[in-house]
This record gives sequence, structure tokens and C-alpha cells, in this order.
Amino acid sequence: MAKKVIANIKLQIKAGKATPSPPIGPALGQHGVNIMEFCKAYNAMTQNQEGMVIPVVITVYADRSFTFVTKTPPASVLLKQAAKIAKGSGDPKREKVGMVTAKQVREIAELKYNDLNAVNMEGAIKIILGTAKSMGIDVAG
Amino acid sequence: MPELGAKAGEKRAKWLKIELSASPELVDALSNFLTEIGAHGVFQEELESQAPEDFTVSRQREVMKAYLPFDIRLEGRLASLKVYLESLSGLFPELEEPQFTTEAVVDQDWGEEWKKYFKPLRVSKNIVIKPTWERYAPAGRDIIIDIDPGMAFGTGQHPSTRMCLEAIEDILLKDRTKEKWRVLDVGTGTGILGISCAKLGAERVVCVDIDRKAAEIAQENVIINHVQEKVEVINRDVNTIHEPFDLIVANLTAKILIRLRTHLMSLIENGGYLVISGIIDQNRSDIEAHFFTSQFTPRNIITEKEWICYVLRKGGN
Repeated sequence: MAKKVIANIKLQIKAGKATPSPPIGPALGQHGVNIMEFCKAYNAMTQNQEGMVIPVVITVYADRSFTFVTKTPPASVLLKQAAKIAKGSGDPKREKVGMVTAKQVREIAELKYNDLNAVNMEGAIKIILGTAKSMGIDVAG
Repeated sequence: MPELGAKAGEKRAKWLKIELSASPELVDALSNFLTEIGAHGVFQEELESQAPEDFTVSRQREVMKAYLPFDIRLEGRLASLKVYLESLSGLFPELEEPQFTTEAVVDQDWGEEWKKYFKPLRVSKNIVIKPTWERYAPAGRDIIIDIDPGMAFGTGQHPSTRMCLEAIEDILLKDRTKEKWRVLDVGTGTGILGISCAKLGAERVVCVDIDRKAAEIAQENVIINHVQEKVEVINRDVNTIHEPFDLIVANLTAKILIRLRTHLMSLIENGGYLVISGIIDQNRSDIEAHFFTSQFTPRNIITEKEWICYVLRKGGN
């Protein structure tokens, strides 16, 4: 029989750098997950991608055992890489901080396609364009 | 017993918890922004107990949670968050406005809830790991290791720890070529492996951890297990340790193991053992390329799920 799931937790954290301090401690601790065991497994799994943000979805079962799957880096992080900027804009309406090409947007949409809730590729591109706009990144072409 | 973990007057870190609700379209950019102003990560959760109708409602808005360090820059960070949210509302007038609430929280033992599920566990033929707050009646030759994990790694529940325990038990109880074992436990965490070595008869054990909290927790566990005469806990980088050992056990990650390889190998006496763990399948060939040398021969390879533990021996038999 399938084990009963009590919670799904999506965490955005840095690859290879999981520690029990917030947000991981409180996010997992309240559901009775062995925090250090998660940190050990996540760090071992993501140590070759250090420097990247690797989101992870953790499924917690009623007996407090857990499984997790890692996802592709967030579109926001990929957009910053593509635009070669360290940070997004703090006021995207007035201040633009970078530029990416339509081709780069499409590449990010393709990479992220399985993790996005998009009906088709056009929908996925629209989501990425929205994120770029929220970060003050212009799209050329 | 003095509380070594929380020294009198020690200030616990404070955090400001932020709960931010926004349309799904904005979640990625907002999570990114929270990280840029100092949060170490962002999380969202879905509880299965939520009624289906609650779920539909929650889909309209998603809730992100993040923690900012409570320091002098906090006010500035919150001000910049407000500016950012106003800017987003201006850019996307068709979306509902993002909103947030804050709450101050003190750093605590986030593992408290999990402890309810930590029960005495037999991890090898002779070793039983027992949480300090549980009762257990030992049978025959049982070696009981009392552990209060606090926020350190090593409860015997993880395959990487269990395999190490199996390996050290096998070495210390079966290899009669050495009488007085000197052991080094690298990245000791709760101290579980070093303490087990002492209880299995090792003469001297050095436990090192670069994490101050882990070293404090290990020291407490050493005292709880009455092995302080044999076990020394050191809060330093292992590269600063220069003395010979007959057994080194290192439950780390493949990357760190490879980085420490030369130093660890140089500390082992001829005929001594190196037990390495915390390695997952995908790093198998990398580890073998670095650790299978003319000087070291693999004596045992233990696997459990995707985890691998290697037992290597230096020199001739």
C-alpha cells in the first residue's frame, strides 16, 4: 500500500550548502523530518552544482520518512546568468538592469519546461518573460 | 551536568520570518528577491490535510516563507522589499497585490519534533544506538551508544552512518594485528562513530569537526557515554592534525573526501584502515580513481540504497 503523504515542501536553496538553520530547519522540523539526514543527502546529491540554486521538493510521509527530487535552477537565476548580472532590479518598473535575447528566453523555457505549469511552449515562454519583467530585465528582439 | 551546548549568556541568533503571499506568476521573481536581500532560501508547503476547496483557493495566491537575519541591516532590507512590491504592483496592475507579514523568531532546536520519532535502533551485530531520553534494556553483548543529536549529523539512521558502524565494528573486533587502536573520526557530528570506536575497545580516539556546534554536541555525547578518558573532541580543520592513526573514519561527501585525501592517507600507519562514507552512486568512479592507489587496497565495499562505503587498507597485510 502506498504510504500516506502528510506534506510536500518546496525549498529553494543553494546546491551543496544545506544546513539546519532557517529556512531548512523550521521548514522540515515542524513536519518531523530528520533535518540532518536531509542536509546530508541533498549536499551529496548537489555538490557538483555548487554556486547554483537547486530547488528541491520534499515529500514527507506519515511515518516521517521522506523522499525528495531536485529540480532545474529557478528561471530567475538562469535569467541573471544569461544577462550576466549578479542581481535583479530592486525597482523593476523604473530601473532596468539587464538585457537578454528572445533566443535565451526560449532556451530557458525549454530547460524549465517540465518544472513549469505551462500548457505549451508558448505558455512557458510567457512565464519566463513575466519573470524577466519582474526583475527589470529587458528582452531584445 | 553542565550544559555545554548552550553556555550561559550565549546569544541565540534571531530571525525575522517573512510570509509573503502573491500570484503564482510572481513567485519566482519574489523568491529571487528575498534571497538577494539576505534570506538563505525560500520555501513553500502544501499540506495534504487541506480540503480540496482550500486548495483551489490557495492556487490563486501562493505563500512563500523566508527568514532574514535579525541585524542592523534588517530595516533597510524590509524597506527595499516594500519598494520592490510596490514596483511589481505598478508593473502588473492586473494581478492581486503581493502582501506580507513578519514575525520575530529565535534560533532553536528545529529537530525537536523529529525526536519523537527517534527510537533505539540496532545498527550492527553488537551496536545499539539509543536516544538519551529513551529506555532500552541491553541484551548479552550489546554495546549501547547514547546519543543526543541536537542539530548535528549522526543518529545511526542514515545508511552512510550505519555502514561506517558496520565497518568499524568489523575492523576493531576482528583484526588482531593491532592491540592499541588509535582512531581519527573526521567530521564527527554527534560523535557517534568516534564514541563507538572507544566502546569497541580503541585506545585513543580523536574526533574533529570544523563546525563549532557539532564539536560541542560531540563533547556532550562523549561525557554521556563516559568515554572522555579515551576520546578527545577537537573543533579544528583536520588538516591541522598531524599524528599517526591506525583507523580513520570519514563520513563526509565525495567532494570533501577527495579534497582531504592526501592528508588523510598520510596520517594512516602501515596496515591501518581508511573508512570513507557519505558517497552516492554517481560519484563512485571519481572516488575510486582517487582512492584506489598502489598504497591502498579496497578490503570491503558496503552499499545501501544509493549510498556506498569503502574500507581501504594501507600497505601489506
